[in-house]
Amino acid sequence: MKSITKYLSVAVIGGLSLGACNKAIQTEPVQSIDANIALTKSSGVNSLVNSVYAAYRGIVTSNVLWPELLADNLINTINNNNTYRNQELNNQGFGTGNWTTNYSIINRTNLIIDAVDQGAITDVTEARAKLYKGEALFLRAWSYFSLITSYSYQPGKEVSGWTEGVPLILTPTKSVVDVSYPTRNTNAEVYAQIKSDLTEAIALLDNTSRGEKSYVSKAAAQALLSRVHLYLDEWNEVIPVSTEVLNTGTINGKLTRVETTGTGLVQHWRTFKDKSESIFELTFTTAENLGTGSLQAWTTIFPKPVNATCTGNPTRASFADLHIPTSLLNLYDATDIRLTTLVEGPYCKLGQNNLYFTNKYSGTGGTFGLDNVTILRTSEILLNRAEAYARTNQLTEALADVNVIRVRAGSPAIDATVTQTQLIEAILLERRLELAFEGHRWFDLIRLKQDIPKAEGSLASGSLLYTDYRLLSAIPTADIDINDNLKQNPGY
Amino acid sequence: MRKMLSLCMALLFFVGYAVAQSRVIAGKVTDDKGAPLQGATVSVKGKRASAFTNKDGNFSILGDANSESITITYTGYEEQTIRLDTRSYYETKLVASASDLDEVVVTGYSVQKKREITGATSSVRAKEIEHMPVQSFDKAIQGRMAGVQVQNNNGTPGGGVTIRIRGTGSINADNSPLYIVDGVQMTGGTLTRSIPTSNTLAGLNPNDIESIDVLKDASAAIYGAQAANGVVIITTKKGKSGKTKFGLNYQAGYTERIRKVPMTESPEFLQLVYEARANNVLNAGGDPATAALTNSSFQGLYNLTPDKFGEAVTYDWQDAVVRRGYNHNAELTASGGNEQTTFYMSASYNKFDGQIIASDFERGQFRINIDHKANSRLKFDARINLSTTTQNAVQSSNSSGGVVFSGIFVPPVQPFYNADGDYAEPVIGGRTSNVLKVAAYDINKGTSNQLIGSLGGTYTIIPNLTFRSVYNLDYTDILESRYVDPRTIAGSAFAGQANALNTRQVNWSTDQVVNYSKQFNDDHNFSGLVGFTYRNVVSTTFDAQGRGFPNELFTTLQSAATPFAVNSSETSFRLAGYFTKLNYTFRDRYILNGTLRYDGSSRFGKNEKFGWFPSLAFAWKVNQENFLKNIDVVNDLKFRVSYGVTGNGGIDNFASRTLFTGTGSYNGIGGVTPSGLGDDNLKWEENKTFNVGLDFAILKNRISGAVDVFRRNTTNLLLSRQLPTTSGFASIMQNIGKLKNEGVELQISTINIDGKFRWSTDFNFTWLRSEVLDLGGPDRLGTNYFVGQPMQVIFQADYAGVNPATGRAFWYDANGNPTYQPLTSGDQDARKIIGTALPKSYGGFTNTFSYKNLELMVFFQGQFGNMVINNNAFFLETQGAFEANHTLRAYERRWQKPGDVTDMPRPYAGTEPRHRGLNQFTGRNYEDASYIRLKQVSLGYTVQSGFFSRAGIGAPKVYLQATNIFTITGYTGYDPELVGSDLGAFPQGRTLTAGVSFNF
Repeated sequence: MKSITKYLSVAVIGGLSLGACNKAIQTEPVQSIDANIALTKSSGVNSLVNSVYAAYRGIVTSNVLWPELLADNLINTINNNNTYRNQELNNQGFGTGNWTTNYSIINRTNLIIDAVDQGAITDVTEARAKLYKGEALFLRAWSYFSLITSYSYQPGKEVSGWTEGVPLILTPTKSVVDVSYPTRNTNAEVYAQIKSDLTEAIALLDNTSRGEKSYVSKAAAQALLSRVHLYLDEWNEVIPVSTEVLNTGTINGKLTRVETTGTGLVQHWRTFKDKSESIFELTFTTAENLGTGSLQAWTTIFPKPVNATCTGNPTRASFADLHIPTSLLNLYDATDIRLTTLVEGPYCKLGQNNLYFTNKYSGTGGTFGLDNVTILRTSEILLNRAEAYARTNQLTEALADVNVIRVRAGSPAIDATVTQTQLIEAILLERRLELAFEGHRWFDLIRLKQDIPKAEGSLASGSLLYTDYRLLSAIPTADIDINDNLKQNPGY
Repeated sequence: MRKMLSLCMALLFFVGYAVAQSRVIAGKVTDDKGAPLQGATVSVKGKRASAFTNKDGNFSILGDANSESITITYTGYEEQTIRLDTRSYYETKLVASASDLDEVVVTGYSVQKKREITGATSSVRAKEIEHMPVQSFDKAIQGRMAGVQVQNNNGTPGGGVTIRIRGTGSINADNSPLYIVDGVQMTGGTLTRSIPTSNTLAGLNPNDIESIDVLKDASAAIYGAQAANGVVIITTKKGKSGKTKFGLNYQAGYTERIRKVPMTESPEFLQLVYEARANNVLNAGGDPATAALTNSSFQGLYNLTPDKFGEAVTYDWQDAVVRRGYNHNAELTASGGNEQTTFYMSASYNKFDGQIIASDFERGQFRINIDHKANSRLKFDARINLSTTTQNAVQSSNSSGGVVFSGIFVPPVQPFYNADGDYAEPVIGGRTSNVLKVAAYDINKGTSNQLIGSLGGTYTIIPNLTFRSVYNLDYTDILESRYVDPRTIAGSAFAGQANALNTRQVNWSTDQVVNYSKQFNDDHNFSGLVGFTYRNVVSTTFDAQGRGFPNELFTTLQSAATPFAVNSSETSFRLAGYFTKLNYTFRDRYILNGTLRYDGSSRFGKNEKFGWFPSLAFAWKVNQENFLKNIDVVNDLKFRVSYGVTGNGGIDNFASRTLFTGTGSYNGIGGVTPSGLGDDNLKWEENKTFNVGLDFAILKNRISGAVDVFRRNTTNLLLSRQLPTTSGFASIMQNIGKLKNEGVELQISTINIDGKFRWSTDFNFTWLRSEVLDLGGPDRLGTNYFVGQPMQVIFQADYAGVNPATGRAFWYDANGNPTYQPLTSGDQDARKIIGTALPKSYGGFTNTFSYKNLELMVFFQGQFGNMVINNNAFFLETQGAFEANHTLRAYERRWQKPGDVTDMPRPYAGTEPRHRGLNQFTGRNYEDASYIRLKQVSLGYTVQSGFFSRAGIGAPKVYLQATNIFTITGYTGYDPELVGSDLGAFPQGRTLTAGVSFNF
């Protein structure tokens, strides 16, 4: 009997200890937090929003420089790093698409929208919750816009009836059961979603709460919507939303206007933060500096050579890989401040003479590699509106808008006697000159169903036809391989 | 927390019994010449307690009325059993043992004699590895044990090694064994983050090690969830009671490179570049003779016409980055003690300069091992190792600062210095920094301070029943300093940059074990144990970076104008396990051994925290059977079979959790990013190992050895399953897939000639085969894993040589026809499996010759059947696509005119039109990495002189030692052994040392 009690007590203690051990081997991550609690606090949601901006910062070179290089606004400096040679040559697999990053962003925005809709955030005011959702909707629309313009044709502009869009994922992946194997929605469905997200964002956002242009605002959502309508040839929709943006005046407490003087324009590019023309910009702090991965490192010479002659092979912090083709330089009037001040040169690099570089990205405050990149700016919106006016035959209004851009740069105003066709052509040219190196060129050509002319020295075969399969990016092979529902773009 | 642990341990309390009436048994033990043997172990049959003989060979031990016999054991002598009668004093002589069967092998939580082992184990003793000029013991055991593959990751002094026991059992989880250093559970590998490599085991002095035992099969199952890749048990030296013995050892020597890759000289280089540019121009319809030269950049770079190429001076960069690196090693040991307390103490200093400039290793180290008997029931032991290690390393990448890489990459026309004596910069060829400047100016220093210690106590509750409690600590603190000098190109962009990286790991564990053994009569012998173990590892890091230094004289962060980045991290894991082991021997013929472990780990999903790991082994000592007992030829014959389940939990500490990580700050405000998708059902990878083995010794132990055949099936692979990235995630860690490893191991030792002149041979060899059985659906994972194929295959378009008509490179397409542009996707994918990165076999071969006081040891080691990418040659045989230096063979064998049959294409600047670039990986870049290496030759001489014995000093031993003497291989790069590829990696060196050791 005694021994039975003994064994029983051993068994009981043993049983207890087994239970206790379950706790003894618990650990909690310190540098990470469990997903179940991450988004229950306002600070958590705010941090997740931050990480989306940071993710865009990570793909800024491909968003800003590739659309220029894939078209005819930038070319490679030969015998240099040749890092972006494939983009210049439009080699297969080097399109504008950022599939993985954008879907990672979309999942984060879905998490934010879900947290607001479910009321999961315990310590947030209703006003702040609205802003979170509005910001997330903008960011989701931006990612879908970035995807749809890279992977799909615009509705009505398809080649061989290829209407595939991209998969619309509107709910978050919270656990492995949420992972789906989606098919591609049609391009029209994706554009409809983008417009609906932006419209909802406009209703939720305001132009006062965020304090800096580094965050999106109501005006930013309107500006992006203006661009979406423009790409879809919805001229009558472009005009009112553009006008609202241009009338905003201050965004997040910071002055916002279309500069009317050349000095003002140059000042915009030289300002560290909250640039006067910016509606929304991506901010880089010193610690987030991209350094040798920055726009400046690729597009300019730094430090600047003391003389322009090509002797030796001086050491530079920047790569200076991407310079401006002569064909583009020749389009500017000789007196145009965008040529005389926003372009620098001639410099030489590795035996190549007469290289001209943009200095729109000259390193904020003289700090090498520190970009603060304007994503949406008033001049673009003004040009959107000018084009919409011209397309709808409101020539006086169109002329007024486009001449603001020309005259301030020091080029002669367009004469009021132009025909509608001539004016449209002039506005499109002005758009190329004004928005050069800002990530527009490739997409503008495609929305106009134009072939892609190639600058001198790159493609022996001349233009890339609008029907060429390389106008659409390839969906990453890894995704095609594991998702049978996902169709690859033609030609890949 | 502490409460929970004590509850966990509560399982282990047992209650005792009474003791029978006692008697004293005394005696004396001598060797066969009558000299007293000190330190022999005397034990009474059926009792746990044992005694040691004193310096006169005398012993006395407590038995009881029922005691039948005493057993006397002494390493190196045959075990002897004396039947007790009415006497109380027994004298006996021990006979020197001709075999190692009485050596003890440390198995999980206990020691066993080799003759009683049921599992597959391999062991290395101190003698085999002593005085080797290596910084860590894992390098010394290379090629010594069947089934244990050791590969150096690089040749950096103090660098890491990769150890694979019985193949590679996992795709995504860890493949390294568990190390137990005097009971301290340690994970190998490297903890440093900035300097290219370091080795967590380099804090131990290899000469302190008494034995290394490796558990290769189910015998490892008692270590449960950490045992799937085998267990390496390291035991350090202990003192023996008696007069204090001192040992002094000093050695010095040097290291030099093992190989120089033949490269072009300046005239050849210029000719190749010129032809490359000319071919390019010709292709575009230009006139090559003028165009290639008038090309402004050719003129700007080389400023020579072809008739002057012969005058160009050659700068041998490969020679410029190497040197003769000197090394010193000094050790002092003291050991001794009395009946109650024994100790072993050692101090050592090791300085090792690498054969590559600016690289060294310096270690200072102490060890204190103490064993104390408080009374007849209670024993204490402490093991403490303290070390401080400082390494200066060089960058081992293929960037400008990569010293080894730049040595072969920089064109030979590039001078080292300008006319004014300053370093010439920028360097031509695509890597702009002058590596001599980088190596001289930059700092890449790591200091690692480590404490490995344990404190244990053993209490004899009743005879045969003991309780052992031990606490272990492995504490590592590493500070790495990196400084990018403002005078270098990299540093000039931001006026210098300094990084300080602190890494700290606290790894503590405890074992609580109850041991029981009982012999019931002559026939039945039981022993068993139950225990509990707990391990907690916390790793923290703290980094700071600053830029903007006044000048190069300021190298620490307080001088930085801009505090640039700070970062810190913390992660931890915990493991708790219950285990039991039962051993039953019947008539010393049949041995049955079973273990069971129940293990829990913090790393796994909440539904799968704990798992069971059983094993069962059986051994039949055939030579104990009557039909063999009287056959003198057979000294040992043992048949073994074992089966067991072990686990592999070598994954990220929080791989099972869906988490948000604090990264992605924006505009100066912190961000969080979803960092992974979790799985609540994530659990161990399971290894089921089946082993059949035979141990034998014949002809008076002149020939002995073991043969083992094994199969290791891995199921529930911890595999990173690809997800559609539309989910926002790229992959998730799940238990899917299966693979197997199987092989044959052979270990043979022979004494070929015995007598004054003695020649003995040790040979081991392992044949291995692996197969991926299931990847959870897809038949392929990346390009290295295919269902039905071995692990880590190489999947590339096979090289078809050069088209004799055009001089352009060919590859075979999917249909086996030569093509310039092999496809790498779709139905016509030209890639196929051309080999595997894992050796099919490996082994070692040692011959030891001794004559009088002279001993010579010659050791070969090798591996066979694997391929490796010659990643340096990939950059050096682009035939002018990169204007880097080229290997001499790329120049000499280049195609020059139609009809030339060769494997080196014609020079061409850039990529030939509509052609796969020579600067892209293909089958062309892979080479057979089989090799046989004369790894070590050592010559020792014991100075027998009256002078020393009169001075009370034992005979000093002088020795000469050389390592990596020569290598037979088809591999054309630096070193076929380096794991993965030797791109920019620090090759191993050839080391020659001379030393002397005294004992007094």
